[in-house]
Amino acid sequence: MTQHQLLKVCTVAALLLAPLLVPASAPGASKKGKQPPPPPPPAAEQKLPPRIPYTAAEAAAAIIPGMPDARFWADSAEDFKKALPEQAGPWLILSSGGSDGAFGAGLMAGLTAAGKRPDYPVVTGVSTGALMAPFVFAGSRYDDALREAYTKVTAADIYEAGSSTGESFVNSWPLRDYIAKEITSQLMADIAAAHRGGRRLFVVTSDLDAERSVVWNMGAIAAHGGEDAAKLFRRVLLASASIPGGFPPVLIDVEANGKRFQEMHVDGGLGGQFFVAPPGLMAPASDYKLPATELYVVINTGLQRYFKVTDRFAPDILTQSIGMAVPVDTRLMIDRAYVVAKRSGAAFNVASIPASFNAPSKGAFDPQYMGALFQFGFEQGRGATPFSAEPPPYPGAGAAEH
Amino acid sequence: MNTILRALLFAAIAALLAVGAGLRSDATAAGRGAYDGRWSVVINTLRGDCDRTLRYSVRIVGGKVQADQQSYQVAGLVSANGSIRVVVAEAGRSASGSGRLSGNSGRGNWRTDTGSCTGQWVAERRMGDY
Repeated sequence: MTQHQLLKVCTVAALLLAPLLVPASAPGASKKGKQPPPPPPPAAEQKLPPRIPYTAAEAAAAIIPGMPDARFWADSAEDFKKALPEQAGPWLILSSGGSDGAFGAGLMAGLTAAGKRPDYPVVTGVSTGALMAPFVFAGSRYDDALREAYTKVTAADIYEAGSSTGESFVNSWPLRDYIAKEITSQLMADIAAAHRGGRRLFVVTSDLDAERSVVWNMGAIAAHGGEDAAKLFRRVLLASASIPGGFPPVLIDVEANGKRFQEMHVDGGLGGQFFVAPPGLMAPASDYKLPATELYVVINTGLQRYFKVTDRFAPDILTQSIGMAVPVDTRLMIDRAYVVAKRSGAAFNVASIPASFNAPSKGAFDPQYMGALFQFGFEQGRGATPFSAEPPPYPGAGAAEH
Repeated sequence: MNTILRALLFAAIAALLAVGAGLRSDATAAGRGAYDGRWSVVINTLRGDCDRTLRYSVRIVGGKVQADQQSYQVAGLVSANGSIRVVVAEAGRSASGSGRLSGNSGRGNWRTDTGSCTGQWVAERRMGDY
């Protein structure tokens, strides 16, 4: 098992296992009569307020109060086309991948160092790709912030075990606070300015109620200005990176026909590990051409398969399942993006973490591991061939053993 | 992997978990209430093959350290001057920690019983809602 695979597995499994770890043989547990009196119900386990019911029709009509241009359904070809910039140019697509986002962050910094980093007219991000997208979109002057975020962050900056709300295994308040600190008013202003200049920053979340992906027009949100816009911007980023079950969902205030309610949003990766265009436009039967001159797809994960004898234990089975599904989904999506780019006359470029990267990792979000991966990405970005013009080979019989 | 993760997580929460055995009962009475509340503890491994960093939530109620959730068990004691000793045992293994709370923060050291992992912990009292 390479270390970035180990990290991915550890991250997911740690999220799943943390609350299950019951020291059953602890002395306090075995001496029933001497146990401390049961504590009052902790706040974390108090009953959550009931949700406001709403209909599918209301879901379809829902908008962000005061910001009707904040978003559109990811399956809406019409809305997608309307949201695109007028000018063609290179598009940058940033995938999911958790702490392996250090690869993409390093790659971007490397491209800057090599003088190969354009102001992409369109940047899209899913999950960890969403977290880095604002910095990438705002330009290379935020490379230092990106480096900090992907080489200094630790698991303690992402989640806390033992205080979940019943909606998830761990609590994500550390990530929420981290996002609030990093998404500054200056960054928001820079993103808003770029949006007014015609560029577009899209982030994807998954609306669990509707079972549909949502594309958030982050530049439009930033351009609204004010505290409500800043709050929404940060909540969208948190939602896009909130693995359902692991992290709590993010409730977003909306309005439909004068009725106010909340939608439940989770990790954008549920609808695909990266986003280029609505599925209908990406379909083989479609003749839609992306208004892009080049397509750059950054895959923040490895695509290799790893052999492992799976324990007969639900978290291990779930972890191994996710570990299988994500690379499969990602690899198929790369092929689809390749075909659409060719159909559109846009040069195709893809970068993913190769099997040769095997730095050691000690648990989830190990800053030393992430620093090594950032540096690996940086060197690739600064090198002669940061991207491949063809999709990577399908992993097959040479599954790594660990 | 599950075994490894259990071991890692076990080691990580070791610094948080205090077990009544070995701690003087008067420590509880003396420290009662002074540090009550919800605490967030960051555990850093400085040596050994344990998770580099983790964060856990615990509560102190009446001077006793408890899990913030009942899905895992925590028990412990804080003395009047804020000193805290930490012991945990699971499946024949144990780890211990010690340190001090002061006001709304705290810090200390921890180690597994075999010494395979050692590190430090820092804590902050959490106010209000999450």
